[in-house]
Amino acid sequence: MPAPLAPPGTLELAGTRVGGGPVVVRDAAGDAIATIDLRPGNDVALTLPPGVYSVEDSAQGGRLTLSVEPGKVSRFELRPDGARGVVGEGPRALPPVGPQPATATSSATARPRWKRVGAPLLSAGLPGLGQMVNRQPGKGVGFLLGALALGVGAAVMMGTSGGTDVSSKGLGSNSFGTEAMGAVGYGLLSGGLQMLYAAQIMDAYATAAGVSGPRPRSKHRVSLDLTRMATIGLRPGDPAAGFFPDWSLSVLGQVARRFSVGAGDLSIKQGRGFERTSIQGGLRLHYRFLERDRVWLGAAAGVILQGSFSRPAPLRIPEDAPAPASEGSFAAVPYAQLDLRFFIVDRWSLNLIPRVSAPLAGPRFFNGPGDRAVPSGAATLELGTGVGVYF
Amino acid sequence: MRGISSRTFAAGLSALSLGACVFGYRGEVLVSASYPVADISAVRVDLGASPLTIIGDELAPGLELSGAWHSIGGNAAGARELAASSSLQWSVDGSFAELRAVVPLAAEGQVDFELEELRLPPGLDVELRTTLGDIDVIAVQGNISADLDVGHVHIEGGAGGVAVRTGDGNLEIVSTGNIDATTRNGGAKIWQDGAGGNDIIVEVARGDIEIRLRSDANLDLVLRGAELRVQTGTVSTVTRGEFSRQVGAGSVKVWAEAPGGNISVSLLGP
Repeated sequence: MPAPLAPPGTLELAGTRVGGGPVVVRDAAGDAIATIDLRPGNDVALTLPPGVYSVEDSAQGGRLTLSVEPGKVSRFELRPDGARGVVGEGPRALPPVGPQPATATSSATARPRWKRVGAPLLSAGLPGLGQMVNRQPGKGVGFLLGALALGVGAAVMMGTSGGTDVSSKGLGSNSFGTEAMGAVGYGLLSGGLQMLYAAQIMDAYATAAGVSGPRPRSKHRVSLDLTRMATIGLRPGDPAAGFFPDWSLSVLGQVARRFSVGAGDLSIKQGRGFERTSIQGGLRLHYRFLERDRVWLGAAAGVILQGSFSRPAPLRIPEDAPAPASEGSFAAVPYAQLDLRFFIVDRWSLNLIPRVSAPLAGPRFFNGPGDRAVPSGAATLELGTGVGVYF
Repeated sequence: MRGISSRTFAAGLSALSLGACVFGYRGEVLVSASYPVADISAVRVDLGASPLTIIGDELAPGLELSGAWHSIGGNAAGARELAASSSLQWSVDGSFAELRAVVPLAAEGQVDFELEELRLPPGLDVELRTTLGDIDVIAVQGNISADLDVGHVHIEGGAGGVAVRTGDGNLEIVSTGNIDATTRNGGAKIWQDGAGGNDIIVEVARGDIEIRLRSDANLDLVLRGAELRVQTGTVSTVTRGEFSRQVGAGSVKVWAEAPGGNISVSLLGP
């Protein structure tokens, strides 16, 4: 015979902060049950089953834990200097909330601490394994199958524009369309795999640590981004189109609210047989114009400076031929870009970055063999995928 | 993500990915050249990633080349300029000569030479190298050596011997000279020419081997493959795995290995 249901309680939400602010009400499991834009004079009353609830002050980054008791009224008040809460009939003042560590719930403390490290590491070793350890087998299998499908698909697409299909004489650029589509397919699938791989590691940590609603660190001092910018480039021979990736690291310092400056696109690239080396880095100015829950939108402008040098292979004929001299090349690549950042955990984001650029003064070399270069003056649309971390 | 649905996110990603491209122009510069071979007995041809069509021609006064430099650039003039910035280099050391494509660093990845045809006296030995491109050699009677990463190989001639290695591509060789041929991924058709009696050593990792003999005298047959079929005047068998047989003095090697494919050996009709 089922136990009789307890009568519900009430959670009142009131705001006196000028301009109001968003608050999120979560149950004991951390699931959001209401997101409210709380403004002065616009009080809200929620009828809830008895239990423990947390109310987040999203604007100032604080959180209160309140208990709702049967037939009684608990109250949350959003004030200009923070938030206060009152539980039940006997008023009980809770400490004001500013930036402070999140209140641990009973479900979070019950989680084994080793999983916070172990689950993401296992997911890094085999996609989905961390989710399985976190007792989410369905999600784990889904991540594993998704990663396998994307990996196999990317491998198949990579093989579509190569081999003896492009070894015949006189193909010229006639096969550009099909080769470009193959490269687009490879770029999409490998980019998707990259994002899925990073996402499932973050998800394994989030589940193990009980993070259900991340609070992005908008007041970080330094951010690091690992990014693969990519484009579909022209090639002079066969295949006539190719996938041009450019892996790089960026380090930016937040010098004012939402505004960051730093070094972008740092990388070293080796050409075929280590005959060519390209070193690149540059300056980037970045402004974050939108912060909403898990998502940030920003824009950036900057310039990549790339220097390349090569040591040509020695001549074999004649035997006493002098060694060819080293050569150098330089390119400055101004660019503008948007970026969309999606958070699964507080300090880590998945990044999607469309960019427009054009190399000046010389060619821009990409990762991989030496035949991946964008000529000077060629306008380039790129898409970046990657991860960011904030300190 | 509350504000943006996953569908919108995926659709945006797809749209942006499809739009990632380079806006450029293509250029081309035609090339024809002649190189003297009066005191030359062997030539190496290394033109980068280019198909190679080599024709032995009794009337050719030297090495007669025709082809084109293809290029890409940020504008039409830049593309033409890049195409003209690279060169072919002819080097001689005693009786050995080399023809190679030289691309400066500033043009790397933006120019590509494609050989239309190379005519040369048929008695020259030729050594061919390419990373990507089919190789066709016709009527060259000297020694022929071909080393390529990706491309099909078709050779008719090579009385002085034929040595071929390709990573990915089919082999079709008709020769009176000794043949040593290898491909990792592709089939091989090897035909003896003339009176026969020349050695054939062929190895194919993934593909079938077909060998047609002019004569089955003094054969030293060593075959390894999935299915083996031999039908000559003196040896006939259908088996699997391994087969070896000597006929007469066993001085003519026919060694074939195709671990991932079938091998057939037969006599050419009259």
